[in-house]
Amino acid sequence: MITINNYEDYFLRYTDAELSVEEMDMVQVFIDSHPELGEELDALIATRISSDEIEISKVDFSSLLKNEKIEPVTIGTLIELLHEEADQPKEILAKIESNEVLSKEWNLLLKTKLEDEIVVFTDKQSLYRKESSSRPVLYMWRIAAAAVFVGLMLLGGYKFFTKDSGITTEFVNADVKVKDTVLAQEKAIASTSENIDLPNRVDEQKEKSTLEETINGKEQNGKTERLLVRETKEVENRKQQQNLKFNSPLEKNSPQTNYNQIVKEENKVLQNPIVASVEKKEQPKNDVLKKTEIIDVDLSTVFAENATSIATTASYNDDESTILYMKASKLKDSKLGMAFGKLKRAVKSKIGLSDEEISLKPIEINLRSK
Amino acid sequence: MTAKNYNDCVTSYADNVYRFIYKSLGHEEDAKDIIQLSFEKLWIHREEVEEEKAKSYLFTVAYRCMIDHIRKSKRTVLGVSISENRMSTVENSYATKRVIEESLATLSEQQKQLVMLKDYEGYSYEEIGEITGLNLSQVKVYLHRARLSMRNYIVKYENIL
Repeated sequence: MITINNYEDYFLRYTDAELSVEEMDMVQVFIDSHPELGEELDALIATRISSDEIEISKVDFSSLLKNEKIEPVTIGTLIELLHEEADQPKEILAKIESNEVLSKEWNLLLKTKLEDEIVVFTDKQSLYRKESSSRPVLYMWRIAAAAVFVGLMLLGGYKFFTKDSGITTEFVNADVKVKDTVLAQEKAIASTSENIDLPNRVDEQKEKSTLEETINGKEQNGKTERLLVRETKEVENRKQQQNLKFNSPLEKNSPQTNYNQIVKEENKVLQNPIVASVEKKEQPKNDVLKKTEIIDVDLSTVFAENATSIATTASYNDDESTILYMKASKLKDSKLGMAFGKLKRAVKSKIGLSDEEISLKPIEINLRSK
Repeated sequence: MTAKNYNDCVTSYADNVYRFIYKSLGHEEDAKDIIQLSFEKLWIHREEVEEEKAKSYLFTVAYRCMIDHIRKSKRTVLGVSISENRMSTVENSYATKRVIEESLATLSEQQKQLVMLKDYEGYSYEEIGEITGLNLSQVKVYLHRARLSMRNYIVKYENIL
C-alpha cells in the first residue's frame, strides 16, 4: 500500500522499472490522488538514460559475458581450486584476492593440503629383477629338485654298480665265450696251417692247454679277463719270435681299447691265432689313481639296459678292480652332469660366485670295498 | 614393459607407493609386504602394462592389496595407532604440521587415502577413481568432505589457541 510516507521508494523502483504491473498501477492511482507529487515522479523518470544514448561500440561485451559466467565463489569452489580441478582458476583467484572473507577461507583450506613428505623404501634391491630370472620361490624348488635328483642318481648308481649281475657277470660270461672260441679256433688253425712245423705245433698245443687251464682256473675270478689278456700277450710274443706268417689288422689297436672292444677283439684274435694286445692307458695324474693303470670301459653296451642312467664311458681300474672313473668331460654330457650343472648354477646365483670359482670335478664310485 | 622398464619403476615409484601405503596403514612391515606384492604383480603382468601407466597400475594394485589386508586383519585400532605413531614421530615438528597430521588422522581410511592420492601424488579425480574403484562423483564428494573435516579441525585448534 503506497502512503505519503513510503511513496519515494515506490517512485524509485518505478523509475528503475522494478515494480510489478500491479504495483505500477498502484503508483498511478497514488499520483492521481496526489497530483502535486506527479512532478517529482517525472523528475525521477527524467534521470533515466536512453539506450539510444549509449555508444555500443565502446562497450566491452566480452568482459561482460565472461563475468556473467563466473558462478558465485563458494567453499566448494575453493576446494575445487585447491584440488586443481576448478574450471576458471585465474578468475576465482582474482575474486579471492578482492574478497576478504574468501581470502581467509582460502588460506584456511590451504593449510589442509598435505606437504610433500619424503618416505624412502629402503629395500628396493629386493624388488629389482632380471629378465631371465624367475620368482625366488622357484629358486628354492630348483635347488631342492636338483639335490633330490643328484641324491637319487648317486644312490641308484651305487646300487646298480654293486649288484653281482653287473660287471662280474659280464666279465665271466665274456670269458666263457672266449674260452670256447679259443679251443675251436686253435683246432682249426692246427689243421689248416701248413707253414707251422711240428715243434711249433707242440708249443702251440702247450700254450693252448696252458691258456685253457688258466681260464678254467680263474673262471670264477673277476680278473679272468685281465689274465686272459696277459696270456694272449705271451702267446703273441712267442709266435712273433717264430716268424709266423699271419698278419692281423688288430695289431693296430688303439691305445684306448674299451671293454667291449676287448671282448670283440678277443674273439677275432681267436679266430685268427694272432693275439691282440691291449694297450694300457697312460697313468693319470689323479692322486687316487696314480698307482694304478686304467682301462677305459665303454658301458653303453656292457650295461645296455641301463645305458642312459649315468654315463656311457668310464674307466676301470685294472689292478685294484675297485674304481670306476668318469671323466669330467664325459660327466658334463651325462644326465648326472646336467644335474650337477643345475646345482652349480643354483649355487652360483645364490652365493654370487663366478664361473671360475666353481668347478666340476670328476666323480669316483667305489665298486667293491677291500 | 621390459625388465629395464620394470626396474626403472622400482627406482621411481617404490618410495611413492610405500609412502602411500605406510601412511595409510601406519605399519612398516605390513606396508613392505604390500609393496613386495604390488611389484610382484607388476612383474608378472609386465607384458600387459604400458610403461606410462605403470605408476597408476602400482597404486591400484597396492591400494587393493591394502584394502584386502585391512579387511583380513580387521585392524579396528588402526586409526588410534596411527595417530599415536604420528604424534610420536612428529613430536618435534612444527605445530601446524602436527595439527594437519592430526586432522588427517581423524578422517576415515578411505578419505585419508583419497587425500593422500590427491596431495602427495597429484592424481586427478578420474585417476583416483580408477585406482580406488570409485566413480567420479564419489571421489569428488568424499574428498570435499575430507577437506572440510580437516578445515574444521584446524579451525577448532586455532580457536583453542
